Amino acid sequence: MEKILSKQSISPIVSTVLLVGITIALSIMIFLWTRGFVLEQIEKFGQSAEQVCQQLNFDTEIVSIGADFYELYIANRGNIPIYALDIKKIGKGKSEVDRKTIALAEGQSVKESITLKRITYNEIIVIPVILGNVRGKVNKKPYACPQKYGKRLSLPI
Amino acid sequence: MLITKNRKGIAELLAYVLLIGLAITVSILVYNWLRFYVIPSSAKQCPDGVSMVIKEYNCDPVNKTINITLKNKGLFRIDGFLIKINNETDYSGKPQGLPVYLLDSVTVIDGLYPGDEISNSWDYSQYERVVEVEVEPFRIEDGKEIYCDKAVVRQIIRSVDCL
Repeated sequence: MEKILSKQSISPIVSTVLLVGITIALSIMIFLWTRGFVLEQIEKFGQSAEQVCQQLNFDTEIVSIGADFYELYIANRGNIPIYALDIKKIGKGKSEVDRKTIALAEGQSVKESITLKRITYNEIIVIPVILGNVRGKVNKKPYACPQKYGKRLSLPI
Repeated sequence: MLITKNRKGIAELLAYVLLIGLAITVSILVYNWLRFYVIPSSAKQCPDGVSMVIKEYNCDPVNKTINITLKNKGLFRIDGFLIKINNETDYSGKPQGLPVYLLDSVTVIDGLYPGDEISNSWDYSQYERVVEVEVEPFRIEDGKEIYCDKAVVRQIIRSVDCL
């Protein structure tokens, strides 16, 4: 009877232990969840890779040299080396990305032959890829710039 | 007995210390995280007032050389320039593509100051002909070439001139 009438809650020590325990458990969960984003931050010249992408300056042009054969001209105008190029091929209802290991030093220009099925694709987006460092680590990793920093080219007939 | 009664004050002080300590720790963490995104650009850039023009050009089709005179029309010193050429034309005779063949990378000793001109001849025999010339100036800062992407100048060459 005495036990039923007792309306006291759990002891303050238990509640504190529970509170601290839940807080620690939640912190570990959030840390493990965000670790993937935080550890994969790529930097170059002490800046985030996306900021470096904004400073890139390059020109591209595409010329047809035969059925489904094209020559892609790229000139790196800026002061940031381009490690590779992602060629996003766009057609009706489909797109595909190919990575071309075309390295362009500062001020360098190159001409690259590419094959594209004109019947399938009608335009491409040339997206630069830069080489950055994984934040807090020494290993380097390529970073494909967001598509908005790419150059869209219509395939000539 | 007296000490036991006065413990409430210490606990309150501890709470404040913990709160302030936590706030400072979180601030440092957030600062270090955000600093990475908002840090101002440290990459060296060419000043906006850099400008170079192709004052004149002459081709010698026999020896396959092109003589180009360049003038610094800007407000700043130029330490050198890249000369690239294009040798391809489309069906109408217009240059096709970009000038991708590097003819020379010239470093001007003592620099090319505003108003100064420089003239030189370059051999283009390995490219057969020249239909377009592109010049990109650069400045040397801390021993590194800083390319002036906004000062790139292109000149279409009459196809009959540099065959």
